[in-house]
Amino acid sequence: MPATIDRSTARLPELVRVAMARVQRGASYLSDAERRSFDGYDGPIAVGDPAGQRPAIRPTRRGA
Amino acid sequence: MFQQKQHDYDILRGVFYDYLTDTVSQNYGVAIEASAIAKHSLEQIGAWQHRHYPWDWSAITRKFRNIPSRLELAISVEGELCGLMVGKPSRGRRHLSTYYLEGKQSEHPLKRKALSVFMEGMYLYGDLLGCEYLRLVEPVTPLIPRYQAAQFAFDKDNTGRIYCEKPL
Repeated sequence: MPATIDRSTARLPELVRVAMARVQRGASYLSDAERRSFDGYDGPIAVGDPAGQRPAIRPTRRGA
Repeated sequence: MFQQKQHDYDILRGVFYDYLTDTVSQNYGVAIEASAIAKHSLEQIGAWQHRHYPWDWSAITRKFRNIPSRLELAISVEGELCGLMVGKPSRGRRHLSTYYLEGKQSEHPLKRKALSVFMEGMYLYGDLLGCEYLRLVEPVTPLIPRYQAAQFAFDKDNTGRIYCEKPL
């Protein structure tokens, strides 16, 4: 992993320069509604299902 | 060619870690350490209690390491690991998928903010890659109402896995 990289030079790869131009450093992406939904949650945080436990939910979009 | 690509994306992830650290510091008032999933993180997971799934993060990390554009994130506060996340963008960059995410279940410095911080990480990396959607593949059931409240739509992929996604 590159621990220290000088990003002030023009030697950055093109894909990195393009990516950096897309975002605003330090800005939050979450809307107020998302913050209200996610903040304060202290239950299990997990994504992925190698244990074979399917989430108990029906699709909301298919066939809509 | 592949090694050059790996190198370029390593730099991009370095930018991602720095920017996410700034986002969390400025908007959540917490000084996090965002990084790749390194050996010291893997060692800490061994001591975690009440884990939801008994995942082998060493194997997960190895599996994704050959994907240059992978999402790979470990978040610590003052050296204490709070959670890890792994995913990858789809071909064509329509969406960024998170396939594995695990937050520490017992008390830690990011408790009750961890989900927001990981979502910030997903948004940021998806934006850096130019993805249009964020996708969580098989989210844990207790979180489904929160994703729904945050306007995530649920569907099944072509392998039958439930996912939720929303525009970035």
